[in-house]
Amino acid sequence: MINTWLTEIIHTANERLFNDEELARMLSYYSSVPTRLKLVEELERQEPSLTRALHKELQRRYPQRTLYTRRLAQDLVESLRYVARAVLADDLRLLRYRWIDHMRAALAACDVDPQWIADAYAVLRELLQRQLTRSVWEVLDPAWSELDDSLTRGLVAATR
Amino acid sequence: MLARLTLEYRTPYPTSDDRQQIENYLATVRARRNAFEEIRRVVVAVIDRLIERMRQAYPEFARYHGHGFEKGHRDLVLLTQMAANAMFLGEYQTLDEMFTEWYRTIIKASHLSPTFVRDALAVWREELQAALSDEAYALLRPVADHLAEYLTRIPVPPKDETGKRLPVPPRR
Repeated sequence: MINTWLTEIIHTANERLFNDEELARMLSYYSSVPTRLKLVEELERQEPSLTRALHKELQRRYPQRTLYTRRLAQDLVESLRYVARAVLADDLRLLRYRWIDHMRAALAACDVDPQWIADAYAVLRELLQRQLTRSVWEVLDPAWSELDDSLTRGLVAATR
Repeated sequence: MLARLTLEYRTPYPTSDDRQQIENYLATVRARRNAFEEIRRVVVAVIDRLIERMRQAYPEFARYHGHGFEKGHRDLVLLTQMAANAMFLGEYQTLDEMFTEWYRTIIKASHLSPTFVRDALAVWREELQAALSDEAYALLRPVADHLAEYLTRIPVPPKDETGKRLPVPPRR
């Protein structure tokens, strides 16, 4: 079972009251939850159109890359479900453990060039940035950086 | 509630029910924070009064448990603090996993009768209700009711170690 920072606070406070610092952190998070929920709603609603747009754009930009099937576009868009969960919980470890580690292993096993996946995510990022409202994009951005980092340094190193 | 929900939803995205639960909870957070503060202020005084009334209702208790009321005071402060945390979080499943079952085991191991525990928790709720604002107690009540029900679900011990029971004195 993965714990988030919030569950860690709850367990740490066993047999005592939450302290002021813990309460402040929770309240600060709660104030951002409506925006996080909005992101989750927008991602869910836009899944089909994002998949279509991503597939079309990948084919247009990289006509030689046969890897870029509709299925791959769908998988990448569906990976946003892990992003959404991590953003909603405000804990990027959820994204790392539930998606990034799995993706690294899968790409290494299939001998896929991680840069191709990084390129596809870059296109997806552009599409999202155009379609999401600014406040929603801001809560998504840290998760996106985590994804970017794993696809550049970490993933490339791991697959060599 | 949010801690559990963000980890445990099994659908690709949280359902509309999940989202509604979160929104309902968020709408009460400010009141929960205020109630938490009220509980923090009154907890020791509430337990002081509870122990005093229980001493009068169970005058022989100390014969069986030398420092029973002192330990009971400590444990009931603890219980109240855990209840306050659960109230703030808007759920008591985590409280049960971390604390309540363990606490019930301690009660059983101390050979306390269900009647004794029921009396103590009835006084606990009564004193809390009297010490807190109506709004604060309304938020705490689901947790307090749950704890009172859960912790009194214990067998009658083979040897009751609470002694003679007199009527629990009314609140002063």
